[in-house]
Amino acid sequence: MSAEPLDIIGGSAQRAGRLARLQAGLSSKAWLMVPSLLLLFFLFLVPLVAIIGQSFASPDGTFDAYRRILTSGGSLASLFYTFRVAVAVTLLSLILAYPVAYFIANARATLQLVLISMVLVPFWTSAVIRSYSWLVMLQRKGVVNDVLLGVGLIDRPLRLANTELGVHLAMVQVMLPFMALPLINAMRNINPGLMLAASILGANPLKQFLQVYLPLSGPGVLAGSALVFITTLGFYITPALLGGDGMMVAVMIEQQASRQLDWPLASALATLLLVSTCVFFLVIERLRAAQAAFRRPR
Amino acid sequence: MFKTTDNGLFMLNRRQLLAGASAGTAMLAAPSILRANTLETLTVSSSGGALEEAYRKAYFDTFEMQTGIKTLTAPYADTGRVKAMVDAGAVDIDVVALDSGEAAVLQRAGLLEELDFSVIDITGVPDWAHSSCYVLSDIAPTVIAWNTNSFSAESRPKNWAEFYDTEARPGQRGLWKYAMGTLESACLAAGVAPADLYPLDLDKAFAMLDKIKPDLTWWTSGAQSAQHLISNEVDLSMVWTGRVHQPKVDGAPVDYGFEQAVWMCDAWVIPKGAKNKDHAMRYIANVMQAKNQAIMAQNIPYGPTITAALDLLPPETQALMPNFGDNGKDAVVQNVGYWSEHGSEIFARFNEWLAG
Repeated sequence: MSAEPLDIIGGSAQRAGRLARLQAGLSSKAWLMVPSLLLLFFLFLVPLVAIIGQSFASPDGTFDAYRRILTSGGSLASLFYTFRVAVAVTLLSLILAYPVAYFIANARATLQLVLISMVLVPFWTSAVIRSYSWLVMLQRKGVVNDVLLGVGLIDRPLRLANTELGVHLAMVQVMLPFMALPLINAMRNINPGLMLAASILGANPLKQFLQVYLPLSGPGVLAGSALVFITTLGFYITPALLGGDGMMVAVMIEQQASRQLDWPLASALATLLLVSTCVFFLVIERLRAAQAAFRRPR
Repeated sequence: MFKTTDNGLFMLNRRQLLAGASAGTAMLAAPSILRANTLETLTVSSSGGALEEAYRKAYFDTFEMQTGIKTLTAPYADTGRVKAMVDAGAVDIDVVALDSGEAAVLQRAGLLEELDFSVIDITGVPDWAHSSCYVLSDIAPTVIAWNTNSFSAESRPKNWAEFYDTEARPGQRGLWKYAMGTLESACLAAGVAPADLYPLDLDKAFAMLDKIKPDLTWWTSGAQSAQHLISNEVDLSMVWTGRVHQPKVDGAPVDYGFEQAVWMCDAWVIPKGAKNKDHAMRYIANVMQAKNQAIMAQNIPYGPTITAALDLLPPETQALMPNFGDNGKDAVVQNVGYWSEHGSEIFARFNEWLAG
């Protein structure tokens, strides 16, 4: 089953590659993109169109699946919950990652290397393992409760795992590198002389930060936030393992697609998620463009 | 894809042949070479793990012994995968074992072959355990289990009303984050008589869930339900007996009772357009035989749907069966037909309640 489309891709990739080279007055290197474009076409674009088509294929009318999502509280609640979690995780990651990134970006070269690899190490561990580790930390007889009980701060174990708190903690930890790396990258490009100049011109440290440093680190903030927000929207494994009361939309899509067999509804949910992600991306792009215009000398 | 399967199969036969020869049964080697050339196979999917091991002993091996047809196992095909397979006209699984709720959804969607009851003998099988497109072979009861450090056999809740009463028995509760089964327990807790359970009284059910929500920890997989109980993340939980029986035998601090069990079952179906339909019918006929269901029951503590199979079991195994003697006196069979019809609305409401 899977061998067939792969063969087609392999065979026609070369042919299409030659075609692109002959016809295109484009760059002579454009054919390098052809294999991945074909792969994307068959394994991403075609299924994507099929899913969007499926969302309009309810037996009870073209827009029935969307009508049911908009009228039933369950699907809407799940979508809102997902966005709420994504916003919270993005903000928390930003607040935690920003000072760390600042420190790393301004550290000496060797220290910087060590610190960046410390950011990267958890990045290489799978989200499943990290989610399970959080379970071990947070459960009723877990490390955190044992320590708090031992110190005498509490006399009954706190409920930490399988709560929204637990889900947020684990997701933030999983997402931190996605936020930290673009931030570090942006901050390393900020000329420290600009802060000095601002201070010479009489700006206090707060003003230096708000009017000079923060806008200059803006591209990193936007890039990191976009990465974290969009990845969190589709999170499946961490909320599935660590519980919480609400239901992330990815979990709901899985339930509808593989158990309830309501493919139009599952596809409509997936399409809505995709559309809102695209809208979010567009907003980010606008912000970036506006910021670039703002930064141009007047 | 098929090529690799063939190769894999060939390897397997050679390996079996070697194993056979080394076991001193070289005489059998010749016929098994002959058979290898015309070897017939049937592809069966199931959820794997302990359940598949029990299936292997009770059904796969007995079928091969009886017919010479070898069972190839495939990964779990949930309703979504069955639909994808049937819609694409690429049905490469002949028999699918899944839970009864899924079987009813598939039947309603018209994705299953009608069963031939002139081949499959269902005498002695209760009415709820067969429909035109599926048969149920074993009962996986959903029961109340407790951590033995938190509750004793005396102090534990003995019905769902006591399970939901957090004042009389303080402690963290575990339920499945899934409408099916959880809403039945809530209705029973609200005092609905088992005979009047369906259609479910959803208002009563959600009122009960409201009461228990502050003390509730959800589980999303059977393994998680057992892990929560054993690690004492919860004190009480709804579980499938198959998940906690072995830990209990191995000495984990967990026990369960059969009171007001909600019977969920394992079903056997043939996806529409299956290539080996005739063999698949014979296969399911083999599943619906008392002696094979008795082998099954001795390998996993799920109850046989053929009551005659209970008589074939030793007393200590009989006691573990959800449908033996008094064990099943106040049990409820989950009405999967009702769920396949009303599932969408109920799930929507359940998800709304979760978020509320």
